[in-house]
Amino acid sequence: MSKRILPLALPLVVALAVLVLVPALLQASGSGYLFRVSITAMIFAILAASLNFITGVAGLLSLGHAAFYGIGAYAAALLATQHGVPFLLTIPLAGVAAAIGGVLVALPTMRLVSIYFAVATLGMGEIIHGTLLNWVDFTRGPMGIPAIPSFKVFGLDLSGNLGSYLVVAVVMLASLWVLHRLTHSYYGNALRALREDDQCADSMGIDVVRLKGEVFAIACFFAGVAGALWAHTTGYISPNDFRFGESILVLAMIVVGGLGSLPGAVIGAVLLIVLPEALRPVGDVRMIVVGCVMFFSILLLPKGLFGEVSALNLVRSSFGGGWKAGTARQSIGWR
Amino acid sequence: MMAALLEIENLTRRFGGLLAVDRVSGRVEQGELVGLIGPNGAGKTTLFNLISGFTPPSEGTVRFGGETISGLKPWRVARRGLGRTFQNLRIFPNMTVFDNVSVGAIGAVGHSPWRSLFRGGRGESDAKAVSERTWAALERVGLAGQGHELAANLSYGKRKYLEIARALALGPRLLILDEPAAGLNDSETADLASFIRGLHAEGMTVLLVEHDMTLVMGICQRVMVLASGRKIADGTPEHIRRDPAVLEAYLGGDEEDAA
Repeated sequence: MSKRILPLALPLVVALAVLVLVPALLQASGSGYLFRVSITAMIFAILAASLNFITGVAGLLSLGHAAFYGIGAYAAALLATQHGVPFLLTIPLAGVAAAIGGVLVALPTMRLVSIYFAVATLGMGEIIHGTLLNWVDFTRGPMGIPAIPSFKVFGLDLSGNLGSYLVVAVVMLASLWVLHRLTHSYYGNALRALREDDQCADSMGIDVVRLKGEVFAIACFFAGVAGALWAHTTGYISPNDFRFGESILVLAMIVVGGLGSLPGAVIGAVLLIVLPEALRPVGDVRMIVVGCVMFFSILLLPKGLFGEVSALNLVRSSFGGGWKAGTARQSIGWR
Repeated sequence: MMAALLEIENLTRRFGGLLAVDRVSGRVEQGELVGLIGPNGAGKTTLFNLISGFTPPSEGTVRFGGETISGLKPWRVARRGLGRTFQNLRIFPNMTVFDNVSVGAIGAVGHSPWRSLFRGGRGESDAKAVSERTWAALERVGLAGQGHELAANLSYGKRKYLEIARALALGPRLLILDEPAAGLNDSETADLASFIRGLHAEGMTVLLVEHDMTLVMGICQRVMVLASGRKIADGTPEHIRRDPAVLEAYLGGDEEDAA
């Protein structure tokens, strides 16, 4: 009986926690700072989930993810400040801009593997960061873009703490849902095959080149969406927000959480955003503590806090994947 | 006359000055169980790569089901119905047994991100088709009870069957097995032989590439022999056993070792 309720129960619990419980607690605390931390954590959850799609699931080590985050942020900021485009449009358009950037990066690097691919993405990240910094006429360079409007639509003002939180939460849940469907469907298996042995996947009828392009387009779309949310919620962006360090931070999130694991990516993002803030009382040693947490979590749990295998088992049995306990025919598979 | 399922004609591959495969022609008819043997370095693997699309030929053509496939990418060749296994097991170790085999099924059904996103409609029928094909292949090789297990946790012998199941999930018209008996002991090889015979009896066309002659001579209807990049013999096992060129190629004519 519980097995039948479970497929609906867990997604519902997650949605209620994110949309009702957490904002209620934050509202009760009355702290704008805590709202800010939560919003940042959710934006990085999208970023981590999207990088996990490229690096964890499809196995393409990308060191330039912050660049696509930046493209999204600048696209949203420029559209909103210069053309007065409302956020309901800037968010998807930012995603599209970043996706185009992603495909342009993926096309020439298609044949590269492992560390060579990583270095190519690192170079791309630097090129895009350098462009944001130096194309002053277009991006205002190091001065950044100030006065980016917050969330306002049809006379409805969502620019307050609670409103911003809810907009970001809804976008995050939608993004995670899409990545969840792709990661845990048969499509995800094609991506994992690409990661495990691309030549072998090729000879099983998997169009490896097309997959790589799609993975980059999809993941960069969501990185761009995260960038748009960042631009609209902070009101000011500059190239400094999208440096190599951000790419590495997001990479650390998905490794700590568990490469290939979508819930792991979210846990890693929340941990590495919330922990440094929670440790503010201990002063200057806080980043040392954060470093220790990363170091020891990898040492003790090399597969991550929530590894791929357990994540697949949980999600497929509890998020409507069709998996059931037992070994009988039809206990596993998509339905 | 109907064209052969697989037809290779004057297939040649040069690597620099080396002639790895030299004007090899041959055919595999629908429903046949054919062996391809040859000593180490004879060009078996190169020939295999030429057929499956990993290496483009320098000269010559490969036809599959009457259509030219030489020059096509491996995934296109696979989708036309060529399933294969690898000489050194190439399973996906960090995926479950079910997920491993599903990859072959996905190759046949296709992988559209759009369709896998939504439930209902074509996405759902694709997902069901992948599951069905995967289950059928798992049951055929006797791994249905271990779908949940990580492939890395299977025994060596079972991984061989996992690879075969993955190729079967593709729904191949031709199954090419690359040295499937490598690393197996005598009783495991005997089991494998009867398994391959069973597949053949169900109508599967099989091309068995082997370094060792025992398995091939035991089950194949016809055997092609490759040496130094050339095809030196093509005939029934009885014929091959007595062929002086084959005996010469294998250990300088020692018949006991050859058979």
